[in-house]
Amino acid sequence: MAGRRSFREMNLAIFRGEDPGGVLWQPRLEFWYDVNRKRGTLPERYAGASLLDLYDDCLASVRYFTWPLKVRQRSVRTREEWVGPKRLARYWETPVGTLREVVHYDEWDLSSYQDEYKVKTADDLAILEYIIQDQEWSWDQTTYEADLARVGERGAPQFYFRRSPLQGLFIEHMGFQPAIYALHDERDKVEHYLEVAAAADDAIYDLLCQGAEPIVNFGENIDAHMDPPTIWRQYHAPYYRRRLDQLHQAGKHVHIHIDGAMRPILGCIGECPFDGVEAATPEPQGDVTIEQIRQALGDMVLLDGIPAVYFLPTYPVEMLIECVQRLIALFYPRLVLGISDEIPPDGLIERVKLVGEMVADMG
Amino acid sequence: MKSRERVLAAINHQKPDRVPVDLGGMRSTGMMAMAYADLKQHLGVCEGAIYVFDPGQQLALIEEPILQRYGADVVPLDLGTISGWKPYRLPDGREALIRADFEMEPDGEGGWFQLDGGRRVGHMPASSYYFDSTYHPLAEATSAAEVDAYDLGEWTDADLRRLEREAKRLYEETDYAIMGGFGGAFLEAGQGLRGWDQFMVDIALDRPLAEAILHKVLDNNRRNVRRYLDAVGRYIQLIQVGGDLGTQAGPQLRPEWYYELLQPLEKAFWGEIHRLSDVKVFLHSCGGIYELIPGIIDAGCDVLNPVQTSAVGMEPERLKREFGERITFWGGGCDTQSVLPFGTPEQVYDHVSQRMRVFKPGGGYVFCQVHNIQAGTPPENIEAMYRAVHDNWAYGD
Repeated sequence: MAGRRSFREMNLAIFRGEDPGGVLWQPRLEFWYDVNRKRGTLPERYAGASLLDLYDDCLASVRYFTWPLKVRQRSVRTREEWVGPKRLARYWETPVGTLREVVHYDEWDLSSYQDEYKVKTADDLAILEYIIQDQEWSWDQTTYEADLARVGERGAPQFYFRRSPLQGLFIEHMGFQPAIYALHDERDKVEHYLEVAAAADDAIYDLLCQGAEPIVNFGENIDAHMDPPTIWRQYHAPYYRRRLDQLHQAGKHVHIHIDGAMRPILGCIGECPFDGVEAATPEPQGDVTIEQIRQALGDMVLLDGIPAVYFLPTYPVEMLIECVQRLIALFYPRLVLGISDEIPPDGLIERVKLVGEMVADMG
Repeated sequence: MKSRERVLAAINHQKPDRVPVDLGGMRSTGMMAMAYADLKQHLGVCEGAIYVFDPGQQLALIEEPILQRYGADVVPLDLGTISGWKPYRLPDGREALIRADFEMEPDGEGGWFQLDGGRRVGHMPASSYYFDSTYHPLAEATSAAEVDAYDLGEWTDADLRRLEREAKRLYEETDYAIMGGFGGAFLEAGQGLRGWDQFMVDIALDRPLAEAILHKVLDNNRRNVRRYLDAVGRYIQLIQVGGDLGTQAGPQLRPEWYYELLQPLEKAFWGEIHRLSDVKVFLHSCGGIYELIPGIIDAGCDVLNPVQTSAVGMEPERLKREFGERITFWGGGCDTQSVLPFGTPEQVYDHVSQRMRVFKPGGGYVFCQVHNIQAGTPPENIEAMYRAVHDNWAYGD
């Protein structure tokens, strides 16, 4: 990288609206690396290689490498028990009641989904309110500094944390369909929870605003099938605007993770002053064209943009190359080139390296 | 028995001479053009062409030799089949013809945009075989007044006269049962006007807006169907109404919401059809709709299609046992999600034979695979499907 800015400097320059001096290639390789290492399918040349070695070999920058926000419950008792192969039950025992969720781990124990959500009825929301109000958030400076030292100039520190109140209800706590029905049947209880959850988030945002990291990600996993314009405008947008205002005043840059369907909310995205959109997925994997993403984002930074399927052997490499060229032509310098949203475990790592070489050759 | 008599006997729950068969009588009982081209090639049928009469689903018009070969008893009355043809290439590059009034333009990425009066309303990406709907005219509406101001459109006199001529021709020159492709959906109409996701959220969170849309659709359906039946009602035996109420996992919405919001509209609309004519009401609704079927029957539906037996709650034996005497099942004969495209011919034959044994007894059954035969389905499997039908279709004495 002699004569060029470091990846960290390029990353910061992009969000400051400066010329980064080249295309920043920042794919997320963690899941691919972890799965292939665990199942013994890492290519021979990566035998013994660390994740950072993999990033270096692919001429790639690292996006997520530190999670300095820590949380603990002051008085709520939590416990876990295995209730079946790969199925872990978690309990939150509070003076107002107990919540239980069951998560199901994948074959490699690297990801999980809910078999059973912790909030079953709108009445359970009162217990969830107790739990989130009982939480104490802190900033782990030691871990943060260690992570920065470990990764060095490979990327600028940024991370995601818990989702906004309604999106959290949809994805983590209650499930989408039960949450929508609860909004219809017992809207007062749900909206009361949303207010309590938003207030409980103050502690997180206070820490973020005081922290040194300049870039923050809203890891929302927005999908227009779940978050159509009414939901976005009525519930998400007011929350986002308030938090964006807070973070912008503290000098932070904020991007939001939209990795699902986008078309119905293309007109909504620009109504919130995000600095970037992460994981927007064009056709053939997503439901929008690259041009539609470009139009919807305006001056925002696009993070990622290459459909993950282009890293599978079923797609010709020429399609990947053409996609990379078009993304650069349309978005640079407001671009952090990456994969929407990760290379799958069976993806071809040679193609990741190929993109790294393409952007390196561009200078 | 002639085809027309056979179909009506089945719908009237009398035993016809054999189970009637539908292949291509409407837009969810046919075959994608690429599968149809494969089939014709496999059978050595060189005459005719590949006529794409439903561009959105890339459906082929099923021609006479194929209808005859499989003993099909139903033909569509559909503007798509009488609008003239123009050259077209299927997504796999093969030559075909497409309805002449279909407008499209390249998307610049190997796919196509569908146009309506110059506006892009659909999109078929390069890797897809379908046009997805991309334009929802009431997507931004926030009030009943905006809904009220929107013109849903009506059949034109010219279209009705063309349909009337074609219906008369089919009635007088063929023995086929004639299916009028009307449409007239409610839930699906709302989803088309607002966007699928937005309309579902409307139902949950903005019921007045959802109701305003649905009642406008009802008014429009009633107005249109009066004129439609006046033009073709004396020739057709069935009128196809829509649309989808289910998903793979069950009803799209709470059954009680169906009963409070949608079923009264169906009752009003289908009741109007019955008051105006002797035409049988044919409902196409995909998905798992077991909990809704009593309401569908009560609302005046005579025929249910496609009987998606792979969806939750749609076990054929239970459907036949619980509802078989009150409604005609038109479909369910062969699973098109797994068995028909991916099974062996022997598996297809056994599967279809078993389905015939379940659905056939007592009439009230028209054979059809579940929804359209998809591109890539092996012709050998289609042949095996109809072999099983023919080996099992006779009622005897």
